[in-house]
Amino acid sequence: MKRKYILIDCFQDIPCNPCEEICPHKAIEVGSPITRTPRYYEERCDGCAKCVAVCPGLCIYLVEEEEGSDKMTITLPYEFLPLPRKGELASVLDYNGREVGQGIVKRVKNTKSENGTALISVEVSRAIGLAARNILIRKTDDSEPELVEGERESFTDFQICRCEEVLLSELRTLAKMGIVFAPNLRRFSRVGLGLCQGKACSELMFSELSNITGMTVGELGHPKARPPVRPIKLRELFG
Amino acid sequence: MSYTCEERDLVVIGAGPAGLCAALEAVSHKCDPLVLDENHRGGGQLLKQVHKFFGSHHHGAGKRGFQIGEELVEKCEEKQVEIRLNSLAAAFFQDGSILVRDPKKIYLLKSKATIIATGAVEKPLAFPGWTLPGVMGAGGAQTLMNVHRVLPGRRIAMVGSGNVGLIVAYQLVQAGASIACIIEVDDKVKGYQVHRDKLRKLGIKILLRHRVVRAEGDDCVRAVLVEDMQTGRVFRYKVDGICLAVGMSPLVELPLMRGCELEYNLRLGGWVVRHDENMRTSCPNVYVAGDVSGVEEASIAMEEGRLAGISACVDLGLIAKGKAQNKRKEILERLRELRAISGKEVGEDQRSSEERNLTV
Amino acid sequence: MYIYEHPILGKINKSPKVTIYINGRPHEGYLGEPVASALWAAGVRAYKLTKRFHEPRGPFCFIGRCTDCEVEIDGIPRVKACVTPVKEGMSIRVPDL
Ligand SMILES: Cc1cc2nc3c(=O)[nH]c(=O)nc-3n(C[C@H](O)[C@H](O)[C@H](O)COP(=O)(O)OP(=O)(O)OC[C@H]3O[C@@H](n4cnc5c(N)ncnc54)[C@H](O)[C@@H]3O)c2cc1C
Ligand code: SF4
Ligand code: SF4
Ligand code: FES
Repeated sequence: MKRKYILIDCFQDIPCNPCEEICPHKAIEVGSPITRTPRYYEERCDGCAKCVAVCPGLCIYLVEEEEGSDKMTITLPYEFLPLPRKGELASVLDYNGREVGQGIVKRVKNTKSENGTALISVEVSRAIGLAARNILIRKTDDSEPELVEGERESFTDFQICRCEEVLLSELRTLAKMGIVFAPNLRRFSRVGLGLCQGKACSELMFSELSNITGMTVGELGHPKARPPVRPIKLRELFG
Repeated sequence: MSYTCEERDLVVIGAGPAGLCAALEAVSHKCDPLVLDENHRGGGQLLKQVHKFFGSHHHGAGKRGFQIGEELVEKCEEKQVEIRLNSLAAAFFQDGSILVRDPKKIYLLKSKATIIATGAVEKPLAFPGWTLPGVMGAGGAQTLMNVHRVLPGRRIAMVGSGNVGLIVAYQLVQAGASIACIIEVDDKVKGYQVHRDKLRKLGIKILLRHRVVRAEGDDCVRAVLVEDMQTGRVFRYKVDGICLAVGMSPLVELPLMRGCELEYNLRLGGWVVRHDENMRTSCPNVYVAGDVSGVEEASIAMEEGRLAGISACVDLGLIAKGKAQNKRKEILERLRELRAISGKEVGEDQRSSEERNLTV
Repeated sequence: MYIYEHPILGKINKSPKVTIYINGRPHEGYLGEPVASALWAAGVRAYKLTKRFHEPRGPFCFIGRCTDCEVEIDGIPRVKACVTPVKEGMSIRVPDL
């Protein structure tokens, strides 16, 4: 007896239901509100794998197993290049991305209806079958990080405003002198007066000010905007 | 040299999902909107998104972000909505006129009603070495790889585990890069579980309770030093790129210039434009929609765009109040359902970045 | 490095290849793409040196907001590379490091 069913790794309440909508046999139900996790009715499912291809979370897997066989086939969603070829041996990864064994690629489906999510069917041993979640995409540089001593204590200064190149220490010195009112601090330090119109550094300045004064960013007063929103060169204005 | 002043009934600033839906709603009420966008293509954030979106069929769920964007642009073309690309709204004056710059000229626009849908801007995170070439916003990396088709780096560290950080990390792997690590100061992953799992199933590590100590390099980034905040140990990861994804804040400069009131809301990204249920701001005939009124999702931005479009048309006298009321009720109902989740602690890039310091 | 093949976006579909000159040396770029992406693809990371600390900077936002990508193009200084389209024969000057 052949059995086909899906596994769904979707455990969190998120606003999503394409799996429910695409299933031709109402075998998946999300219902209302749309944030409910999907429920699956195996008896209605015919194993068409439409849900595997549509799921934005890439978290539905189709399992095919046959009574008496020590093998099973897992169909998984795959969005990388190169695509594996039929007959190829693939390293099979589990939920944590760890290699758990090898499998033979039985089918590769990547037509328009999958919309870029290829369906890869891999034949694996029953022992690892239900754990299979991915195949290795390519050998990457996974060199281990190196332990660095004596880094934590040292303070390295850095710029808080990219355009005007104002250092954090300079901002702090001004603040210690009592200049904690944002418009004044801006005038003295030039933070936020650069070409980008303070898009990045104003936020950093307010965050630092909130550290110094103990006030929340919301209490410190809102940012200012000056026209134009992006610098316009004079030669553009006067053509 | 002379400045011409064109007059329009409705100007929409920003051709993201919010702006396009606002324009589509407006044409359906026989209004002739003008859409401005500084980008060379319409679609806003959607253009860069190659992943499939959540949501319901109503908002194009299951389709990829850029496909949803293209469809919206096509619909606008069908309805003959005028979209002016490469057109920056450089200023929005108190008298209601808008200064526009395109590659050829600078001109003034006068509009009876204005919908601002300028989206959001990425928050920065500063640390020693953050000014080195190779350190970039996650949005910048996305533009580079998904729009311009150039690989940002071969081995990249991602800072932030909100949805943006998770999604962009995954997209970097799709483009051919590898991810050295994802760094998160909090003790839990901020983004959705399914986005996290896509990376987990590739064996990519998310370092919780970790922070960036500094970036190293001479003329560009060569490594990032990361501290395990529990043990105090510091590790060096060799990378040639660092992407920052520590939240977004609404791009409120135009409404500010115009004089719209703001309000501070941590959950929605900081300073947002104050607005009522129907997207009206404190200034008459000025409306907001999408991320500029609070950073949320594309599906919400679309619904807000529709609401703003309806409100503008009501105020322009193009729809009867009763008819508008019925349409609004449906939209508000959908918004309520979409937001049913926001009380829960998932998928939040915003709060995490506020609670932590933006500097080290 | 250009991404010629992408699992979702397919083959690169950019307009014709043109030659640009980076510090006088010929490189290939695509007509109409931003100068910033052509430079990045050519391996350039430092686009300008800053005024105060003379340190290298490269693109940060890629959408015309941060001004960190300014380069000299055809003799005009401080042009934002991320919002300037590539043209045939363009001459771009970046710091020689
Ligand atoms: C990495 C990432 C992944 C995401 N994934 C999802 C997802 O899976 N599902 C989901 O629902 N949402 C997702 N989102 C969120 C979604 O993209 C945004 O909520 C949505 O795009 C907001 O729409 P908007 O129209 O408000 O703004 P935007 O899409 O940002 O559009 C704003 C437009 O305004 C233009 N503009 C700004 N200022 C000016 C000006 N002064 N003059 C002229 N034009 C201007 C910009 O060029 C831009 O085109 C994601 C976001 C990111 C960054
Ligand atoms: S495999 Fe087909 S029938 Fe079964 S749940 Fe998925 S879509 Fe429905
Ligand atoms: S489509 Fe996928 S992510 Fe969305 S609810 Fe269904 S199983 Fe979950
Ligand atoms: S990269 Fe930010 S302005 Fe060009």
